Amino acid sequence: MLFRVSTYLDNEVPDQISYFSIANLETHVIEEYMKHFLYKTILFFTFVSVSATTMAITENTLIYGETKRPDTLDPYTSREASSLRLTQLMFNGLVSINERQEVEPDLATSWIIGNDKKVFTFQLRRDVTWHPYNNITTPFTAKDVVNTVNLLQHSKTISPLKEIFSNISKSEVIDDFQVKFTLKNPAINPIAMFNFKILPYHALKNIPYLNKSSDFANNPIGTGPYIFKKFNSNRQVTLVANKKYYKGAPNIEQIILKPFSDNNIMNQALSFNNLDMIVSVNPRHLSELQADARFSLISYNTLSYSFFGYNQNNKILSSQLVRKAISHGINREEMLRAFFNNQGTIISGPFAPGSWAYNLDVMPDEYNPLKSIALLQKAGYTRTSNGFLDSAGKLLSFRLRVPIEKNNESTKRVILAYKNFMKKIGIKINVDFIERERWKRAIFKDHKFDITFANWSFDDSSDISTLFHSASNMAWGNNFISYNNPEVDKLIAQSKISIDHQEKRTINHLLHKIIAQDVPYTFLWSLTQYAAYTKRLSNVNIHPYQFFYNVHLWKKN
Amino acid sequence: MKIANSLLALLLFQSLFLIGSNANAANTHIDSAMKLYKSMEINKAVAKLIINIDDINTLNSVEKIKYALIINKNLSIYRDIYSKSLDTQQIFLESLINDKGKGKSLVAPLFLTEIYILQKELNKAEQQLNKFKENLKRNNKNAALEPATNIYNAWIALVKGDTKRFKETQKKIDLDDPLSAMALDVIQILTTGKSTIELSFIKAAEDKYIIEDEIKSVRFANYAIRIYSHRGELSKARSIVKLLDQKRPSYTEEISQFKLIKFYEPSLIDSVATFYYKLAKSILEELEKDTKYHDMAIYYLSDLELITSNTTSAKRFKEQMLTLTRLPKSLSSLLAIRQNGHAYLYGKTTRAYQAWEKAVNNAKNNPSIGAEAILMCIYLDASCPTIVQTAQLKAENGKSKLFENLNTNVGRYFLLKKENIKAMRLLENALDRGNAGGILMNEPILLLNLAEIYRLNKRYSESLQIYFSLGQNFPILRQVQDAVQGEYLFRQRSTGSNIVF
Repeated sequence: MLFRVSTYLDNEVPDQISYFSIANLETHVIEEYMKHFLYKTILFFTFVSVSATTMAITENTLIYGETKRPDTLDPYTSREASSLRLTQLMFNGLVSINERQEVEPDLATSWIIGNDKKVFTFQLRRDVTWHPYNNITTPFTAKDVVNTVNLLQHSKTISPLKEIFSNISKSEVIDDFQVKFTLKNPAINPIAMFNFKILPYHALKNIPYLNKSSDFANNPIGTGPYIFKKFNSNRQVTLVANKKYYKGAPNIEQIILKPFSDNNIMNQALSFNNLDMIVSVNPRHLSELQADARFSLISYNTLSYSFFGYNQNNKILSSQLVRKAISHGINREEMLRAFFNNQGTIISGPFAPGSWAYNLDVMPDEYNPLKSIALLQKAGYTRTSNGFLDSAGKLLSFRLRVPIEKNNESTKRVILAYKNFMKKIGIKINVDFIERERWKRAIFKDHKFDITFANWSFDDSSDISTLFHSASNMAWGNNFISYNNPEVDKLIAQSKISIDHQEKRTINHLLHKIIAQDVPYTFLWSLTQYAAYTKRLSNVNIHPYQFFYNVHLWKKN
Repeated sequence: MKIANSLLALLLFQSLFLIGSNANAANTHIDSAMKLYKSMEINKAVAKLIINIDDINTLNSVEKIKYALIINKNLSIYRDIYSKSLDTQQIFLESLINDKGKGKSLVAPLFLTEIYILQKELNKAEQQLNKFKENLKRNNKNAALEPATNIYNAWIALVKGDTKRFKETQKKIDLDDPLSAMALDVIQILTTGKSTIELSFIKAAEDKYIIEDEIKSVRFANYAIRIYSHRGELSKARSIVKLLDQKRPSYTEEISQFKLIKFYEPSLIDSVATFYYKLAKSILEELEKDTKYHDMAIYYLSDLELITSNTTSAKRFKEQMLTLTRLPKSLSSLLAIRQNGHAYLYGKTTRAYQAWEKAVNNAKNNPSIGAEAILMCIYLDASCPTIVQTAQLKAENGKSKLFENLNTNVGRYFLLKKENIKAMRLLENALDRGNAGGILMNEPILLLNLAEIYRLNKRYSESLQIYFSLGQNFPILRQVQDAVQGEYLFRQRSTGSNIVF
């Protein structure tokens, strides 16, 4: 055990020495040492206890690990990837999109499109029932569909997916198994938009809008292959197979989501056979898992990237020159190499490089601290031996608020490196690691921060409209940095109404160029995602945006 | 880090053969190119050589071998990129033409014409050419491209062997226009192997198309590189390659303020590859005269001919390969496989299949020889179902990194034969995911084929992510990236969700 700790210190920490002051380094090394010593010790007891618990779990159970705890379990109120992934196991849409990008029927059997491409009539399946609610099983009908749209269109519903419903002007029940929608404008992928998850009318009829604190958000019922069974105190979630699932009873009887606060522990859990699957492998563990014949490693691209976002309500950060100076002061290549084992690519703008919308002509800002200093001077700040001074003669400093769940090693390293890079160019960063729920409130609701670090993940429509349109600058809106550029607003509006593919691409390329120049974020990197799972699982076919697509066909041997 | 057979061979060769050679003439550019080569930055290595070494005759024999080897490797990659480019551009251009959106592209049929000619689908080429001519009649916005219609018309006639039609069309071509005259020469090179244009004419055109060291027309560069290379004017070709921005589109169609479409020269990749072929060949032929390096030169010359499936030299190498004695073991062990590659090209297919089968049966003990045998099936587009079936079993059961090349080549073979599921499994097996140097430490050929198989399996974002990384080393991939982005754009069905995590 000690040997491994020593190896860790010898091989990994020196990569980062240049980023830390000696004091920081000492603290960091001791922290890491203690953490590794403790976690190895704790690990044994954890696994003994997990093994004891798992004795009660049937053999035909899939246990998978996530590093984020799910907050809510309905498909709309959460912003957490772990929550949304879990809801794919419990809910269905009218249609779904398979891994070959084809639209296929799901709760709808067929549809008719009006001549004006604005009216859509769906025939619904007659053999679908909701998961039991108060021990009663209710059939799925058109009323459920219309009520879902009404709930999502309610002004008080807060959902990151609300935008999808903004183009629906009318939804009507024709009869129990027929529903009609009228759109405000023709859309580019009109049928695909009806893949939103349907909620049960009978469980929500007394609720006018969705919110995180509703009972439904913690006790969901859907039509999907798995039924919610329980949450434990650690937000571990247990689901059981829906034997009446309309596509056929799932092969695996039970699925358990087990949240971990530490990637290393999660990886060890997989190695000790206490997990069957990890949905997102830490890049540092890739080679170890690839060499282990017991596991399959599969890549999937979620079109995601990491960034530092700058609150434009802060007078100093509202200057493009200052933001540009900060961007040039960060050595992203070094961070990617040292902290993520080079398992990704540096990006230049608001789209992931795996997207059709990425503008390949825009290059990332190069690391150039001298340029940073020159830009800060150009912005009117005075350089002293301690760093740059603001107009009041105080040291230029910002509060960086970061969500952290106990020990998220790589985030911590990125933040400390950022702090030191900024110090090098004369900017002081005060880091504020805060609990995730508090962070969400501070960033999304109250906009109380100067700089934040986070990651965005997109589906393959690569829709950035809510991130940068000024209309999304509101409490719980995605434009939490209060970015406002009329030209960007105009282009986003144009892209929204366009039903021409190539036009959309041109507009997005333009948006990429303008936003990269404006630097509302420092765009960092896009990492390749890998899932790892035991070879006892078969028929696994991972869909990048619907991880558990066709999960009812998965098998555990 | 994974090392390809040829690289492994070179490294062994260097240590065994060359340690005692005179280091005085060592060229720092060769050394730094070799470093790039070893870290899989092959195209950057080539750029270093092309930009910095004006006269190859200043290099000693060892440096020449290294130079040629790097070029050979890049040639094999460019050949692969070329086939990917034709396929991906064809799909994107077809999507554009079939798109029912507002403001249709008027230019897409012209570029699709060239793709179809290169893919030998002449009837389809003819249809698209007519479509473009119709578009020109309705709208003269793209009139600058009008001269190309006669060129494509003549090209189709040449490929069809319709001399009368060719001669009639030829009369309509304005030979005072440098681009038209050069294009006419290029299509003759491609179909008949003859080039008659006055080189002074091209030299004069350079003043028009190269201003302050910037090439203003990609089409001009494409034609000039092809003609100069064909005529053996390699220093002239090199001067164009040196200045060429391989990412640049050939034409941008502006349909509206918010609808721009970039079109690329599909044959540019092949033209640059031809330059590499001629360059490597000239160096190796020179080295043949040096008794000390004669065998190495022959070995790598034969490599060049296998990469390009050249049947004209098959007899020579079929016989000459067996006489080579001064080779390191790593290369001599591959001689029989490669010699049978030339035998196959010469028509001795049964003999070749038997030799390759034997190599694959022994792949458990020596996977690199098995990988080489499958490589022959790929280069020569040979049908090797039984051999590949055996190789697949060995590759999938092989545990060590030595099996990565075998997995790669079996995967590539399945990709060629359109067995996409198998191809993906094998290519993924070959990928080193955990390398601290990142994904680019893998063989570029593996990455190219992995990106292609992801595209074919509609995993566009993964395909583009790999192309994005690889594009940093191979700017010419831009035309593939652009086309795959376009295909993805037309196929994607999502409606817009984003989450923060």
